Amino acid sequence: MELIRQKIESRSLTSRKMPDTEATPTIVLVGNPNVGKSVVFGYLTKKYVTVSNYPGTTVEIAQGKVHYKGKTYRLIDTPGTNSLLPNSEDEKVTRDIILGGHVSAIIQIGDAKNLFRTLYLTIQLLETRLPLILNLNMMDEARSSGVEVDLDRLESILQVAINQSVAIRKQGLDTILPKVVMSTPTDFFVNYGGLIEDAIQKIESLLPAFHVSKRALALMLISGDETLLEWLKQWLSVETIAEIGRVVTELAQKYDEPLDVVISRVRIRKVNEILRQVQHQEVKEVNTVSRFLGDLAIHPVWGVPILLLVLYGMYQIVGVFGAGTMVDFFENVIFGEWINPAARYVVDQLVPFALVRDFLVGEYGMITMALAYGFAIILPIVATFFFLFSILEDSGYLPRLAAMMNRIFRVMGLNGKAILPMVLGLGCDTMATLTTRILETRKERVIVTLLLALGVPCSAQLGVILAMTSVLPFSATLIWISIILGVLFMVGYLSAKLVGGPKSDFIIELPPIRLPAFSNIFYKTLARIEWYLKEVIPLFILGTAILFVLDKLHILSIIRVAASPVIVKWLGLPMEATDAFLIGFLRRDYGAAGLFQLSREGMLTSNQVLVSIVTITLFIPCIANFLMIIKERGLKIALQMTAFILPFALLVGGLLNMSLNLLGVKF
Amino acid sequence: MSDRRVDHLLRIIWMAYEKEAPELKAIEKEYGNDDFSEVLQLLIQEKLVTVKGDEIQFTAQGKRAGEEIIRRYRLAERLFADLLEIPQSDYEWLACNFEHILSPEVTDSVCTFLGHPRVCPHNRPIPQGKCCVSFVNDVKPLVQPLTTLSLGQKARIVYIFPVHKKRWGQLHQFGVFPGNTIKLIQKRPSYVIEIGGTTLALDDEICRDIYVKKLMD
Repeated sequence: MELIRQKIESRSLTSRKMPDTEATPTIVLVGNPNVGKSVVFGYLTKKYVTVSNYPGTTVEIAQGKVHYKGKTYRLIDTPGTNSLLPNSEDEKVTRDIILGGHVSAIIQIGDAKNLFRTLYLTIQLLETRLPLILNLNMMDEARSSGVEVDLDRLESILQVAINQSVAIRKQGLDTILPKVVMSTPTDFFVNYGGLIEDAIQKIESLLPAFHVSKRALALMLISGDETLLEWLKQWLSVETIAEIGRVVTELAQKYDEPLDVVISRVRIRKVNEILRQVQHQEVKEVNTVSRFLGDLAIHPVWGVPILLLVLYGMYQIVGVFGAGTMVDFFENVIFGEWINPAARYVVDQLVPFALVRDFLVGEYGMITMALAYGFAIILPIVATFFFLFSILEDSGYLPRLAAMMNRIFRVMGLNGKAILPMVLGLGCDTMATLTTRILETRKERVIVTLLLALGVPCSAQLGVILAMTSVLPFSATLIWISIILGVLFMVGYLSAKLVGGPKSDFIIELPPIRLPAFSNIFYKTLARIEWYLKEVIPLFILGTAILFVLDKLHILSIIRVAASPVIVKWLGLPMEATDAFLIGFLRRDYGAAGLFQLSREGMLTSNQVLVSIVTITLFIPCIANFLMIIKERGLKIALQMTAFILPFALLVGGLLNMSLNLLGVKF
Repeated sequence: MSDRRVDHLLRIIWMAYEKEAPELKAIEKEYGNDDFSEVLQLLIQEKLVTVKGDEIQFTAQGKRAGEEIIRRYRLAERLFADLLEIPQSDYEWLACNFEHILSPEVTDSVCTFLGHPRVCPHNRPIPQGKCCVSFVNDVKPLVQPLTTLSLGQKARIVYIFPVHKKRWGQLHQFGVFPGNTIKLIQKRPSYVIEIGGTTLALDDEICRDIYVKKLMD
């Protein structure tokens, strides 16, 4: 997820080495975001590619094999990064891969138009003393925008081979591998000044030999990278780590500014000094379609219709095509006509025990409910959603959406970046809860997790709810939308007051708008579907099993009797709706589906439909999401959230019912 | 108070106060010259400080005087460091001399000219003057927050006011750094700036902390 900036978790590195089964030499592609790394990667690896999530994260990593002169190399495409001092989970993954060992060479891809950021990273990569070549990409754009670079001079300053390319036109890519295999570590050196150099030496003497230079590690430690200290515990004694800490603290006392600022300042000066020697012209502005669209998407006026257009597109593709056409096909044809009858037949023939038969193909059966549900209803919806989300991500639109929303989210103690998990929540709240890691502070993560659990309907639930709204007049649908948005906003505002902690800064890069490459979209979507199958389907099975047990022990019917007064008296819904809400405990969308069934059978008035969709939208999160909240935020917060959400959803539903009655509104 | 030595010692005591409770010995060491006791006596006579045992205390009058000196000194540092780009080794010495000759009016003009900076190049606070409170704008500021630029305007970054340290590292890696040229693209719904080939969207308050000097087209 290149555009989704992820916050660093301090527990990590140790258990997160890339799966490394063979001892093939590894070459890594490193570069700033949006410089064309993936295109170079695709060209070099041709078809031997696998995409998977980096262990324990939602960051996708592509790996492939490259053959050159009879030798095979492993090529890894790392997430875009600006610095080896990570600010995000993406950047941390890149740093981990470089430090993780087995790297025999680095290919840095840089944007020839943006040498400053390219070289700022180059300096840090060279400090690791891993063999490196610098590939300057988009040379054509650089030339047309008036950037002239003295490459020979740059090569001699950095002492690395430089390759020029126009990756999208496949120009200059064949010379990369020959240069990489020839590359050696260089002596390029930045002097950080007496005090820091002394500290570097002291720390170097405390470190054992690593696969990257001790100097690079020392600089990371001086810059205050705590995640690294954690990782060093594998090799160093507690005393040595404490000693490193003392050296750093002592150094820090001599400066008025944080040490990472002091170090980055030296690096920036160095980059500017190099630029003065090799770059001869200021950048001219070029007006392109991409630029025009990019500016339009964040325009205070035009940005809004564009946003609405994007939402409408999502509705058409996910809502109409995914949740309608595809689900119909999978549910009614594939499962309804083929799998379910076949499974029932086979089970009836082979299994003599009624209980086991029920467990497999009964009302709450593994095959007839859990798998049918997971594969026939949810999978087509999340697959179309993931596909669309990947397009939005690669097109460069999402950061612009964040920029559009920043002011509104400020009121809720969040910043614009919080829109990203919220949008993802419209696909799958469970995945979105995991993605709250991109937010920088604990406060933001807690608030967004709560909002997701409370009022962001996932695509499955949304599909069913939208189908129910089809019987309502438009004004009633509008009431539903306003109540949900109002509740989200109000709860966000109040929890921002309640949850303490510093607020975070909103600094986000707006990459150029571009047409996504189909192969990228395809691999990303595939990786996300794989994640979904591995992580979420097992939870469906677990949830269904719990329902099955409750049903067999007749606990369901006991709860039903206890809960019905709330449903009938307070919400004004028919007795039968109780079942739907009970199931809603396990899956909000199961619940929604139950209500939809009642509505189709003509058992709900329009008012009742409205009350029930408001209540079920706000109802407690599904069991998969609940487990994810426990994993990410802890059991205590998960329970507190549930204890708030359940009565709150009923309260809002009941108040709506009362107001409709008092005002005599009939839809 | 024309005595430069008095000004000098007052500033040293002030700076010692900023760090921790000052001890007489430490101040003497920092002062460096052997006329320390003589100058200290002068301060006591002028009722600027009181000394009890090893402890030194400002009087109300002394506090005001110290504040003015430190303000002049740090504004001078800002002027030399940011606008004239004089290296640190030289500007500290220059500022030492400058602190004695700036009149209150000139001090306020310099302050306005620099856009009422809140910290010195070492990130220590600059005491506010009358001009900062009343926003006197007789002198047109040369250095001003990014937010005051008009759309499409280009400017050179002069300094960034640090609120939190994390912000700097993030800004640095995008090239938002003193000396680099920036262009303001949009103010609403978010601030959007262009720097090098990079486009960034930022919070208003971060932009208020980036001080720039306008460039002619």
